[in-house]
Amino acid sequence: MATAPAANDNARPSRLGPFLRSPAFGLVLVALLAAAPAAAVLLGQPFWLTMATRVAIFALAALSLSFILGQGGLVSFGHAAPFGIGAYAVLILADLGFTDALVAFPVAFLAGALFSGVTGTVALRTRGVYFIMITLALAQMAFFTFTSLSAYGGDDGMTLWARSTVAGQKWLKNDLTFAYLAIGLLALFLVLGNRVLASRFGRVFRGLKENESRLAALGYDAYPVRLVAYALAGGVAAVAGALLANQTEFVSPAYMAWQRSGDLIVMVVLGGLGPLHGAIVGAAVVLVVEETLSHLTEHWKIIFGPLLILIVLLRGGLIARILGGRRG
Amino acid sequence: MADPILKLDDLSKNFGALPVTRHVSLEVLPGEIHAVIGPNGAGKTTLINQISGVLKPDRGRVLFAGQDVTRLGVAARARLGLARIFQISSVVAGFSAQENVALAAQAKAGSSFRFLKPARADRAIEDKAAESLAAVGLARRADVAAALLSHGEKRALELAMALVQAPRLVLLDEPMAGTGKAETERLTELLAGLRGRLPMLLIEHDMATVFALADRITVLVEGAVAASGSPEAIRNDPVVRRAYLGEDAHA
Amino acid sequence: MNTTLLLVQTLNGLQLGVILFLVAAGLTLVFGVMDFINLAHGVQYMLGAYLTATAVAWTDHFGLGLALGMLATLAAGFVLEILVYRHLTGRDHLEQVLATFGLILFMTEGVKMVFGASPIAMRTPEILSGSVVLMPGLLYPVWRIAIIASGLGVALLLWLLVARTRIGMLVRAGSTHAPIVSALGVDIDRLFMIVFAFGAMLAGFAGSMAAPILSVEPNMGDGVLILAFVVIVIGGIGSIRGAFLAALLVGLVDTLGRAFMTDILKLFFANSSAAKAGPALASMLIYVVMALILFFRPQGLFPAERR
Repeated sequence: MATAPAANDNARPSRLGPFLRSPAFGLVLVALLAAAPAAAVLLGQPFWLTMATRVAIFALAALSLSFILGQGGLVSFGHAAPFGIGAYAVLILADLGFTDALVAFPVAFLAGALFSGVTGTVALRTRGVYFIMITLALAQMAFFTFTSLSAYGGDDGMTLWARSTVAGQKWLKNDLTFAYLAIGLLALFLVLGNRVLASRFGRVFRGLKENESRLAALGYDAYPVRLVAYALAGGVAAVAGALLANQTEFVSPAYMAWQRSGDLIVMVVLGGLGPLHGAIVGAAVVLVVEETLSHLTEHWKIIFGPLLILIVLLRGGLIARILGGRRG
Repeated sequence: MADPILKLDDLSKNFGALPVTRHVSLEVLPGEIHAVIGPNGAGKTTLINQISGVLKPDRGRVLFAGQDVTRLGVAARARLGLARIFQISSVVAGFSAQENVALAAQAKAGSSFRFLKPARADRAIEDKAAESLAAVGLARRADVAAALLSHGEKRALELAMALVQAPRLVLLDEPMAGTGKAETERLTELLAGLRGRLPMLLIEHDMATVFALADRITVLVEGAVAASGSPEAIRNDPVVRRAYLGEDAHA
Repeated sequence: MNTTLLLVQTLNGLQLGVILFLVAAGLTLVFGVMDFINLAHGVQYMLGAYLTATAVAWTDHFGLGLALGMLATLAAGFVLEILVYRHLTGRDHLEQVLATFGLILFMTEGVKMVFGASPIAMRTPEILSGSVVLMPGLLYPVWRIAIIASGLGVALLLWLLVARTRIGMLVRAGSTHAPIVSALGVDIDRLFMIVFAFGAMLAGFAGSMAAPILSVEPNMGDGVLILAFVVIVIGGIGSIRGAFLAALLVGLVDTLGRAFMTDILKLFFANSSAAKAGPALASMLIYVVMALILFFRPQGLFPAERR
């Protein structure tokens, strides 16, 4: 084997690579993110606080997509739907008088998991471009449904009266506390996600991405495994949505617009499609680039769009290369 | 006589107007290595696909371990104890050799819907996998990603994955295709070592392998059984010699 | 729910279906021939509407404007194919999704910068404005009839093209047996370019026809694109016939659902809850239909053979 030709150009030996791909590095990223809110308060930069919270929220949503897309090969173009459903869960529960996060967040998780689980029964019967289009269409169904809910503001959405309480306490009114709730949940689901990937279930789910027919020949049915993973990812996305509803104290159908699904895909791809924590990098990069470009011009998308095209045309992208998660 | 482990009963299949399997009946007895040979386009792979469940026959039945499995899918047949080695090596490329075999072992050892306990903490499965790797001579390559294994090593890995499942029958679809001479000999030796313990249905082009391994040979020509019998009988069958072995006999 | 209203809404549904078909036709061929997912196809529809509206305003003549608009859309199709799409064929679907998503952002924003974010209006040509009496008590706008007629005409033309000409034969073969077609010495890349640009023009034509009854605005392609996806998925990827039938189905179900769902619910539930649930249910309807069809036929109604 030592004489094998060195044709493997993407496997440049690097001591850094394995570390960057390890779950330990994921925790380093979370720690870095956790330093931002404290620094923001110390330095009197409230905007950084908001930004760090946003990054944590979108990282959580992107992480849940990365779980099914990066690890499971399921290119869902509808991940904004469970995300938005989580946000609406907070709004609707608050309207019904349940304002506590200990109720709202679990319910949001269940609502997102239920939506993904039900739509998954249809979507997961298909493959390839069908799957992409169907997830998009089903998310659009959710979008239009909430658009027509006039009781909750229809098109325009609705303001949330107040942030969720925690066991009756109004702790989350404090932006710093809220930032650490978001980062804490991100850390929790990162650890949980990595654990699931390393479990018996995760082994099968990861295997299915690479070689479904081999797993069938070993006796594994793909459908139930994928359905469970798809539903779990929907649940986690909904938790992220519940966080966003609380941060902005506002909920609208725009949370589940198809462009948002696209944004989440962009984050996951920029994060390298490899280890889950790539999603943190991807979310941070997208949000910071958006922020920076939008300071340059209100038409920042005219720059961001071609950037995406270039990333694809130049293959993989820089961040992906750093994380080493993308093969040829 | 013992009941056959696999029995094909009057199997027929058409692709459009083209018949690819025509009234094929054959049996694999416990402990037997049954080889299916035939010229290119004889419908060997189509036949194996109907046995494994990838394709459904138009007519006829597939009986496996005494059960009619004609309507079952690939995974369900696999769970009954039908293992397969693909014509083009099929492993999970990103997994290590060890994890590939562990994945195979896991399918036979309890539910895969366990979410939090690390899979590698399951000693019983990991040990079984390591044992199976050792049996095919891959013990030292256990931690290497399957994608980086040589062609012959992938073959051996597939065999380890099959063996760890303690199957009732192994389907081998041209296991020697593309392997070098030394690797072919090593694999043949490995398979010969399993003779009597594990029934196999072997599809193979390499005649040396077939005659070294097979207890019985069925010759497929244009989708139909042209002859079936002991290696000796097949070697001397004039119909077979003309239809198939012709070139080889004069070579 | 009277007969006249039902007829009017059926015609409206037909008209939506025809528009959807024009958009879906190019899309399904590109999917079928190249296994290529193009999210930015809705942009062609939007671009067609803008270019035609501009050309009509400039020439002050509808026919001339439409012709110029179509030529411009076709040209835009070729340019995009050369700059972006041809580099994406054969890549994995995720990369195609990402790049065409980027293209949507760019084009939508670009149009916003050039034409402004607010909708622009396009006049209906004199002879085709106004309404005709189709039957006693049924007055219907001439323009909508023109849309239906021209859409059906294009569908017929397309069918002739695909079923009767050499290039159509290649497209059909390419959508099911691409390797064989390229083995025959056909330049599959050039075939793709032609199919793509032609599909772009069809979508642009749909946008131009819809322009007088809808507002021409930068995001007008989004909704149509997703409905076109539903059409393609129901019809079966790569199938023109499937796209045609599915487009009519989607157009009719969506229009009639929106028109009558609340009334139908009122037959069974209290007025107030029907008024609340009606619009929500109506907007879900086509997706539910899609889900049902896919549940029983994951490859759509008319799957291209042997995929």
